[in-house]
Amino acid sequence: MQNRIKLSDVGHFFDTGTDRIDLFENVSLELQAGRSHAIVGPSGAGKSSLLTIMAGLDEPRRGAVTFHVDGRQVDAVGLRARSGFVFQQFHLMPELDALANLALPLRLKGDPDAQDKARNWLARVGLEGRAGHQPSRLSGGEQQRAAIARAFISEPAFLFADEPTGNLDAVTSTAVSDLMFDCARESGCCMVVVTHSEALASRTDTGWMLRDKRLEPIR
Amino acid sequence: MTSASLILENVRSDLKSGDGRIAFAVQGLIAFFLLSLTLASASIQSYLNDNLDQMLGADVVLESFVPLSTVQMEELARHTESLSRTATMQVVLTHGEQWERAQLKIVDDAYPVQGEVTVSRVLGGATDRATHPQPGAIWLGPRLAGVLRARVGETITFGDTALRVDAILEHEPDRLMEGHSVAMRAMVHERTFDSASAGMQGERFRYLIGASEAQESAIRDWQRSELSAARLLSKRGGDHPLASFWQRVENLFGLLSVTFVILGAVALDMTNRRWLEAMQYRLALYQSFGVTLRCGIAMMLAQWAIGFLCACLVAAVLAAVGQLALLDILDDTFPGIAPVWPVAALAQTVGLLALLAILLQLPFILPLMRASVSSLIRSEGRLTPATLRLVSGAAAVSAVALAYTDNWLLTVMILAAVAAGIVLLVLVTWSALWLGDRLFGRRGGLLPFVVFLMRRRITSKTAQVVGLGASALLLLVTLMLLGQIGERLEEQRRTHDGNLVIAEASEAHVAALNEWARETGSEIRSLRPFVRAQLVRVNDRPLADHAGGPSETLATMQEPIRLHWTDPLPANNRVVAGSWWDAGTASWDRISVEEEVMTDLRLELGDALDFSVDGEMRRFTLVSSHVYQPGASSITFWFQVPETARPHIPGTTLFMGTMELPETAWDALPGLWVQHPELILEPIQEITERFDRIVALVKRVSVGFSAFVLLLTMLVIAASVRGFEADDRLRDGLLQTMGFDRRDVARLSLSEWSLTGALAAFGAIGGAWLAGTLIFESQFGLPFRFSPLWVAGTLAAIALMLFIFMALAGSFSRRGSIQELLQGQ
Repeated sequence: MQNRIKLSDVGHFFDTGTDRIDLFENVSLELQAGRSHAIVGPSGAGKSSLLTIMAGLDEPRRGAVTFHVDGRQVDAVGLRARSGFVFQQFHLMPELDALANLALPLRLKGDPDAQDKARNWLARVGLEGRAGHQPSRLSGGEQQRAAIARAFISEPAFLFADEPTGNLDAVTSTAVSDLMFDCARESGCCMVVVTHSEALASRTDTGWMLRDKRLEPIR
Repeated sequence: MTSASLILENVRSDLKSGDGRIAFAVQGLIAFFLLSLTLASASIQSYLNDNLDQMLGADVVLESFVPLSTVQMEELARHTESLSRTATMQVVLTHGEQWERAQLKIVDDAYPVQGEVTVSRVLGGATDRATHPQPGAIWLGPRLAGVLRARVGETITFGDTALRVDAILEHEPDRLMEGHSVAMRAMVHERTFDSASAGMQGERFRYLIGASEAQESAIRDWQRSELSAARLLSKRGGDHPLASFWQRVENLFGLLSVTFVILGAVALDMTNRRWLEAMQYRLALYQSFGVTLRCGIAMMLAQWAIGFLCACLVAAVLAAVGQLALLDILDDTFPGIAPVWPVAALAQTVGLLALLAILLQLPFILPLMRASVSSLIRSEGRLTPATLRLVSGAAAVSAVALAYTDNWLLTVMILAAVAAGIVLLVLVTWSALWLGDRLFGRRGGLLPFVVFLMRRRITSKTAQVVGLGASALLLLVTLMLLGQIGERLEEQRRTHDGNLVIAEASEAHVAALNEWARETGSEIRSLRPFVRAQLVRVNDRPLADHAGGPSETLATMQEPIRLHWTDPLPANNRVVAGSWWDAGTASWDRISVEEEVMTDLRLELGDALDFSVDGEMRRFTLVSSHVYQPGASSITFWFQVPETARPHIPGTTLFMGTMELPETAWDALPGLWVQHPELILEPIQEITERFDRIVALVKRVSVGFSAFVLLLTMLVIAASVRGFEADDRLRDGLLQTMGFDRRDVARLSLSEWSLTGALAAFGAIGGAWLAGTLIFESQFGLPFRFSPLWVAGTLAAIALMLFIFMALAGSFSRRGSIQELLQGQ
């Protein structure tokens, strides 16, 4: 398999100084390209922590995680170079306008066509008229569309979304979900979504429930 | 929890935050400086007032630079029962092979009017009360007796007069009139000279008068109408001769605090950005609990005021402790000086501090007042327009300048240099980033990306560059100005065209000098004529009224100055306003005045200046203004008139100039002084020693002052890092999600800070050059030499410090997981 992430007996916890809080243990799974996955569960179960471990943003306290990109095993930094992220809080850079925010990952990679590609993506997500606007002047839905475009612009092998519709109303949520799934399907990437939304979770190929420190398949 | 306890709780939590501590430290430092200044100044003024009571030697002293006529003496005597006249002059006394210049006081039988003269028989021996020396005797000050190696009973010579040393002069009750003079001192009776046909001569005449309040008032009226060039000093008036001098010292230091206010404004501007966000959030929460906007803002203001008062309180305690240490140092100059706690003056300073704090805070309070509930809840970050922040900062700086300035030219120069430096920094930042963005275009790599990011954050980056650049500029200017003044003073002696300055010589002296020069192989290099004249009125108004506030120049004008006549414009002068006269002009009543003197005395071309010369008044019309320019002799005159004026001006012609003595001629000097004890010659070496003392003082002041600037600079850097920390953490988190590792992010941050530092340094060097040219050349008349090596070395040290500080601050702020960075934790 060209692109995959494998978790073997992964467990995670954090210490508060006086107590240890265990989030999950013995999690083993494999994420593959071209598929979409949802992780659901109650608040505080550790969904976001599991996502950050899958995405190479954090290391597990127990077990192992391996990443393969384009057929080669890579480290976390290598994985992130081929990943896109969509956050609940959008996390656009406040001082950059919409166009510059989209161009950011390409510029980091030294792509000389960053501006043109960013402009194309803005048009694709329906924000061509907002190119020069800074995030503070965009609505929540517009900011999340810009964030999705930024996540896909560098043709990621993996896309990680943490509550991507958590800050949006029902109608906007649907539009943003449609956009995300369309982009993922077209790019053939592997998409992992952490969500409380049943509607969003039901659209993925696979679903897991994280509860009582265990990850169980629900679909 | 009541509102009051909630406010106190907020104050505590604010002081625990980095921003709160920076703001507290900035307010505290400025308060400490100004409060220390107030306390020290009050102690000095109080000391001088006490001193005035004990050391004037009379109820009233009339001081004049020409002796009163017989008629005037009779008139004065009608107003009092006790009157003593004294005269002082600079002389050279010799004892065997030893010689020394001294200030000789000539007294009459009525001396002293009040207080006691004490003398001793041997150096350091027991003291006795006395009144005045007998004719033919001389009393020597302890230092003078030591230098001349003269003991009581021996004979010393003054010119061709032999004087018997009768006592060592320990204390004179009118010593106060000499101020801080450290001149060697001696006293003789006026009848000593009757026999030697010298008569009552002198350069400065003082009439000690015992007078009731009514008599004093009558004497004052008489002096105003008859003797406007004279000065009246009263025990009751509290106008100590040194009070205005120390007032000026306080003013100078107050003016220098403009620097601190500018740095403080920059630091507060950076921390207030986040303060505003926190307050908006807090207000939103309060309003959601049913608190009205007005009440919420009142709580914020109370919280801010408590923070400010706490800073003032801490500063006041530190200033009080610091004052004790400072007075210990000042005890050398003011023996027995004691601390005072002037409530009114302190309240005034706290008022000024409050005004400054309010002006600097106002731009960040106004958005809260205008904000709607919904915008507060969304926390849309309503930053105050930059213009308003700039205007309020400028108003704060102006407030300090207004409170302390007594030299508008210097004030305007300092402010203009700082303003020019800031404009330069903004221009450098904008053009460099704009050019860089254009140049790198679509190219990849670290530097192009850093430039791209900085260009997008141009407003915040400009604020950082201006903050850091202004700090570096002020630090650089402070070090350069204070350090190089000493250096230039030292250099001045080498620009003297000779090794002996003829400070004052009569025509008879000049003839003797020429003769002596021929005999000893010496050379008179320059000799320029003048008369002693005192500027009394401008456009028919007394000078003090016309000039307004006190200034260095006005203080000097209390005594006669040198009025020089010349037709050609001296080679070391150039005209900056009006026009110089033609040689042999018939309009003899023209006058040219030095530029700074004109500014300080508020003179304008066309003004009528009345001078008192040898007791007579002469009027001149101001037609030209000149400044000193280096390259020729270092002797320059503040007031110059055409040569055709000389026949119209009374008074003895005196000369000032320079001589070059070969090594062998120095031993022959005592012989010259024995013949002409009133001839005032100053070896350059003695001037150099005076310079050395000044340089040592300047160095001490500069170290203390630079330490203050350095402390505030550190706070500006800390504020700069803190102010943009949240944005930087988000950026760093995002970049890591895009495949950057921590080292890349650290490299990017350091590159960004290096570029910021480089832009700030570049602007600061440019600003320092501007300041040097503006202040050095025009204010101090000293040739400004911009030493790139010195500046580069100093800046390298500053840059290294900045780099270490920022790298440390940066690495701390980048601690935590990517998730924490993104969540702003």
